[in-house]
Amino acid sequence: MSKKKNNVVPHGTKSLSTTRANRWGWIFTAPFGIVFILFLVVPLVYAFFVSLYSYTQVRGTIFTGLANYKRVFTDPIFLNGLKLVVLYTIVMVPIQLLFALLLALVLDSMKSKFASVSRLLYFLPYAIPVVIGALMWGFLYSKDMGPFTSLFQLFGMKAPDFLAPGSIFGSLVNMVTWQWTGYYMVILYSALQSIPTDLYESARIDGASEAKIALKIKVPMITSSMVMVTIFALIGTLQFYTEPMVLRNNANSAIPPEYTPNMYAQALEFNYNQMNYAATVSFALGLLVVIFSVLFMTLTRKQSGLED
Amino acid sequence: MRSINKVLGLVLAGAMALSVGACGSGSDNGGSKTAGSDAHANDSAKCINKVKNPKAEKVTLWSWYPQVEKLIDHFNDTHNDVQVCWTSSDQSAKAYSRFSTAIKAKSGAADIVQLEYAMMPQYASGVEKHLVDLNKYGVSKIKDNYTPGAWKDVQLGGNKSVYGVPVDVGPVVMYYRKDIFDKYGVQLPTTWDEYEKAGLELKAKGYQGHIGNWQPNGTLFNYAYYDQAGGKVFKYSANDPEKVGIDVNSASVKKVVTFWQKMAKEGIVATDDTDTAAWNKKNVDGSYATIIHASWMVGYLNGLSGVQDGSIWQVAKAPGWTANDPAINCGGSALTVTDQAKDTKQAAKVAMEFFGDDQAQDIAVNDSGLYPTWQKKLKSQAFLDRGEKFFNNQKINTIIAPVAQNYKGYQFLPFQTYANDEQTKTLAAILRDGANVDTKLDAWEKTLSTYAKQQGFTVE
Amino acid sequence: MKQNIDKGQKINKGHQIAAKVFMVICILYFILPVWWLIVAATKNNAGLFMGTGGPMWFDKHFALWDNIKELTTYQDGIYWRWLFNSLLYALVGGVGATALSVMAGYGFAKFRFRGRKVYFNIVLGALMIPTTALVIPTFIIMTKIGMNDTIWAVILPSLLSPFGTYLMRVYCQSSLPDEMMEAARVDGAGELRTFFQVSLPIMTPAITTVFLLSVVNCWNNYFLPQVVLANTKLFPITVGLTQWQAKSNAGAGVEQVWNLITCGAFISVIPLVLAFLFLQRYWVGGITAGAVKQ
Repeated sequence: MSKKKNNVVPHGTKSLSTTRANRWGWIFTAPFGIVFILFLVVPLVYAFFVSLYSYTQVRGTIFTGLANYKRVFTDPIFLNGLKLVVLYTIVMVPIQLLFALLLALVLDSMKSKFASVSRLLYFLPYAIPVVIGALMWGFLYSKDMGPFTSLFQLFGMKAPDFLAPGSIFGSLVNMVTWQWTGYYMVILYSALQSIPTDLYESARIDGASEAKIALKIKVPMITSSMVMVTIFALIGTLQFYTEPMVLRNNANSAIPPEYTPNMYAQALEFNYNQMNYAATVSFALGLLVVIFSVLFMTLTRKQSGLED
Repeated sequence: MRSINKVLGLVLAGAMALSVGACGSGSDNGGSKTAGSDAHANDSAKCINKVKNPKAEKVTLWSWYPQVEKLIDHFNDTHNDVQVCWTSSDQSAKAYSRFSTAIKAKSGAADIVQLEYAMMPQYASGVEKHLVDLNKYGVSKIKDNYTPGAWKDVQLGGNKSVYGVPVDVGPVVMYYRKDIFDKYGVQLPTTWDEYEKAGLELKAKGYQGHIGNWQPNGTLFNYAYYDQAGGKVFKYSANDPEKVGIDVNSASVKKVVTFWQKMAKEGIVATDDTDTAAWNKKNVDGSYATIIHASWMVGYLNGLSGVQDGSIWQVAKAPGWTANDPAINCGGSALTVTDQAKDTKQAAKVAMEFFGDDQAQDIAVNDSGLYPTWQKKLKSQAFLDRGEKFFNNQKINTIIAPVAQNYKGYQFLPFQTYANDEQTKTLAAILRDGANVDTKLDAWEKTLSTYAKQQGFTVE
Repeated sequence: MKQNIDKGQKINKGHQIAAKVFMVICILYFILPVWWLIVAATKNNAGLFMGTGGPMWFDKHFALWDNIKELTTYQDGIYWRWLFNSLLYALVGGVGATALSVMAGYGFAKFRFRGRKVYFNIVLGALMIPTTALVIPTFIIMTKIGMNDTIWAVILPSLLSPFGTYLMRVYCQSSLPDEMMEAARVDGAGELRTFFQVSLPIMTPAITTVFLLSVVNCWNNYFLPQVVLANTKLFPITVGLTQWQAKSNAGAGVEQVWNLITCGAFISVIPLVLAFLFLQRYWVGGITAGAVKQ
């Protein structure tokens, strides 16, 4: 669309002088900037400072420089937690994206009351707080309180133990998928709706199948929305915390207290009284995410509509 | 206006971060602080309870005993000069993290904090000396009011200092479903050997549930089981607070764990986590024929008695390895006075008097479901003779009280939470996945001693 | 040729049925847990544990009204306080975060001020930093300045929404023509007037999206309030209910309030569900903001 940006505005016109741009640009962005500094930069910087010290119960707190980082990047618990988050990201983000895309495409191809009602129903879980969603699934997964035991019995099968260490991964993926897919679907659906129909009417008349139209015409038109959804899903996955934390109440030994790096930091801080090392974990995680997100944003700059 | 100050404060925090650095700062958060004596420091404290006499000096309390508000009201009704102000109801893990936080911030802790015996060493070891030694405040006068085991617990393995006033214990007994044993015509077991046989027999005769449950996350329980077999897994003494003993892979522990692993493999015991909704359900729906558990199970079962008719339940002594196994205990807690107490003397007095009269003990036993450590209650004929309605009027205290009396006290590590979490992982692997007992227990031992050394302790 | 079209239509019909079946299965998937919650809200403890109808059907004893009554009496009806707190945090946090994001996004998109590139790149880098990773350091700082256990400890950090800012910038850049702003400036409008009278109306759809996002974010907030709040009276519903859960899991008999947890959870989801249903028109339009750039 309108790709002519401010940069083609000639100097000296009535439009915007440099000093004015300077002043108002900062005025508009300053409130956000202050909050950004206070609640993002300061905590991170602070975490870094705290992480330069070490605490032991017998000797107290001493300055140890970067020793904690040496420890954290060789700490099997932290590394396992990271591995787990990466694994969740690799599994969860595509599942949610593809599932949402499929739903959006199906809904987009149907114009009926049924379609609009189902769209709302798909969306419903988004309106439920994650904590409560996790609480519900905790009950549902339970061998003794959920419906699956009797459901599987109907078919003469034994229900899997959703809360066993081996299946907890899948159970968490399912919880997240259930909660967020509907929302992503709505984003993609709205994007699909805004594609001018004449773009694919002619293809349809030429006898192209719906699947082909979807893949060849519709999907390429909504890549920017898909990037958006991916960012959403990434943010959600990288801060993976609430779901395992709440589900832990039902699966105490399947989800250890240090399951994800966030949970590890919390356990260190609150259960094991190791503030300095907890801060190290937080900072290391933050640092890795920054590196990752800079990479991601650079790669998707074109699709996300930021280049200028 | 106050909020603006807060925002400004936050801005300053950035600068502060630079100057203060990590600021747990060494030895100065240690013990030799002078006691507080400010009677008015708590005047503006926000209390959860309604203070009866707002003009009196207030002592703040953190506690999560069930119905603790009744106990507080009782105290405040019977005291004029001092009033208890309840400022946090957080329980266990949450309460401890709150306490640890306050310690780091050097303010914000209550004058009196409820702590489980197992958690007390954490706050009285190394540089962390945050519990007041009550000897200075005449605690020895009330020593004989309490069971010897509970008193040992608050002495933290030492023989000089007393770091809290014992409140309750968790004597372990066996709750069993009489109807199930009757229905299948199985004898009630009194030894572990019989327990296994009874389990096999129930199973053979078509009982669909399990004779019992071993909970991998049952932390303190499992220590009680080890103790019964002679396994003293942890050593710690307040006399020598920089030394710990860890012996979680002894022959006794291996014997106990192997035994339960065998029963799990035979399919006669379940391995469910405790403290979940499903576990609560299984406790009452006949999934377990016995529940070997602490005294407060009475309250659990009773509280869900809407769910079922309790008369099918009975209480018996827990099975043992030999006829005279030590009485085993799981949990229990004390009221401790913190080094942040605003008026230490007054706080110590409140801690000593809070449960120290007949009425308070009545509330504690009847409403809160606490098992007393107070000799007068424990020995009172009315207490022993009381038929528990839920258990078909069985005089359950004639079975439980001796267990409480004979408890000898345990020792716990100054990093017990960590040890517990590691135990859960170890036991889950052994019982659920059938991992090798020796390897796993040895690994647990090694993990704990590495951690202890890393924290600066000498490991015995 | 005609044959071909017929065949195509037949396939389409087959597709249609397949699509319908797929959609019904999906509806079941998304709706069944909610159904469980509705059913569970009407049970007392006995019904939840040993109910006659199983987990997915009503118990013979319908306890919804008793549960609601108990919610208003248990711990002096603190439940309603929690619900109110959640609404308060969500609204204040949501409005605040939206306002900051809208202004900042607009500033980044429409003013080529000095330092913009670096500034925005820093924001981009922070886009995916999990707010949960900041909780522990934030908590330590707040402990030091004594801000813990106040509503500000929950609200102020929730004003931060780098993603909202990013979204607003993308939207302004692609959907807010410079020409309109210039026209306003030529007419002598100041920057503030241009912002409020010219730009804001055009930005409405994106604002709706960001607002929705922020409100849901604050409504979902769990880690931070869980850590910084001690006073139960300040809890949002998420922290309150999990506290009840912990209590019921571990507490003695009198403290087992499973019925209040399920019923409380059920009631607490109603406001947002209703809001979404009735405001459908607005958010479905607004959400397209994510799809602005074709």
